[in-house]
Amino acid sequence: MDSKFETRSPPIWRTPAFIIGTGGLVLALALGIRHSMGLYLQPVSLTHDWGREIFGFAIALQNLVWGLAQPVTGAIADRLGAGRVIFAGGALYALGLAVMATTADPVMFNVGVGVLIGLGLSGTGFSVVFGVVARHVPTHRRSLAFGIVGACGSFGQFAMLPVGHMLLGAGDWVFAITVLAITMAAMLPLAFVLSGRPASTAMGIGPGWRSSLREAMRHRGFLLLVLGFMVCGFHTMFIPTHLPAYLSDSGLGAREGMIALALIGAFNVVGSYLCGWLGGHFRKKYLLAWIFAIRAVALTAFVLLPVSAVTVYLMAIIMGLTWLGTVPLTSGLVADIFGPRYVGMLFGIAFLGHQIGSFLGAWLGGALFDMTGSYSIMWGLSIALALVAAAVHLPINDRPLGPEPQMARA
Amino acid sequence: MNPSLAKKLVLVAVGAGLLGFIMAWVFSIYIDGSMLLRLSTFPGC
Repeated sequence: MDSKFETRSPPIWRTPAFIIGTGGLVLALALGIRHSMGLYLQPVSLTHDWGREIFGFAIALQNLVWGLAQPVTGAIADRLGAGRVIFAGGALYALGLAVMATTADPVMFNVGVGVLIGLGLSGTGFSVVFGVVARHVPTHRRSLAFGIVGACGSFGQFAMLPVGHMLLGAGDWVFAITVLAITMAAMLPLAFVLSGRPASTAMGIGPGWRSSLREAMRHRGFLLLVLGFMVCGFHTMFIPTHLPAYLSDSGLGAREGMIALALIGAFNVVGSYLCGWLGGHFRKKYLLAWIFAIRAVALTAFVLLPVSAVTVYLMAIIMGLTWLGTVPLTSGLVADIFGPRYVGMLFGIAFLGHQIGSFLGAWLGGALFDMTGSYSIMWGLSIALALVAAAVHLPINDRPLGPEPQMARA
Repeated sequence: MNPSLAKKLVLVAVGAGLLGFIMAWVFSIYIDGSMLLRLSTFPGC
């Protein structure tokens, strides 16, 4: 055979394994650093002689900016390539951390932590990374790939908190944040590994983002999927934010709360991978329904049984196993139905729903506690929403809408 | 046993062992108590 017609294997840095590993590293750093922000609330507020409201508002703003920007950054990544978006996101993230470390002005602090890091997260988070991974792995391996990348992100969340704790032990908070900013800046070259556009985009063929968006908005299954993901956000923000206080009210110590949160973090790594793997073997909509049904049973048992260390740890393990397992399944379902080309934008919309759920979970937990003096209504609401989420996944039409587009152009 | 399968199994075992060790170490930091003092709230996902 003529040598010019031979197919050459891609260089190692364009292989699916390398892209999955790089995407996992980006996600682990981005989510991990963000997850450790709670460590800096007290030292930052003390140094600047601020109340806790300024830091709290900056984190709330960060969540809002992250959620609102996610569909847009996802769409840009789908159109122009994930590499550029990850590079810009990482640079904004590092800049935001640098502003956090250097400013003593509350407005600038909110610009840095709230706006810049929020935008940075939208450029380096699930939607963009999953988008590029989806376009580089074969369809039958996509769910497993999402599971591995999701597990890396979960591991980052689990591991970066102790890393931040150690950095604070080695120096002050300015030192810790500076190290994190340098780490994030050092991550920027990884964006080149994740560069490249979908072949159909590069060749100017296939439906545009507007028609894909219209198609998704008319698809009842997509809207149900967003609704289910919103419930996921509700649970994953309400429980970690209010569980320590609930346990304290129930007569358990802060140590049990911390162990419970560590168990959620550790089993989340296992659950994310497992759910991704299962998604490659079973229909994702049924797995999502099972996840929420299991959460409903676990939460019901937790509320009905007398609170003890054992029941808390068991609940934490079950919740951990189902925690972010929804991410590879939801994103995988989006990619299965609509194809991988606009998965960044469409999963970004689902993620916006998740963030709205997160906002409601954190806020309603506090508001209802202040009104009633207990978390009973919130636990009841969490169980009811879990049942609703389990039910809404069942009628989703998960049939692909069109043929799978070509794999990414290197 | 197929040599490539054996190689894969060794790699998986080493990887799982390493990950288990790191997870146990991270977990020990969580429960040691000093980190608890720094955290007023634990952020979600």
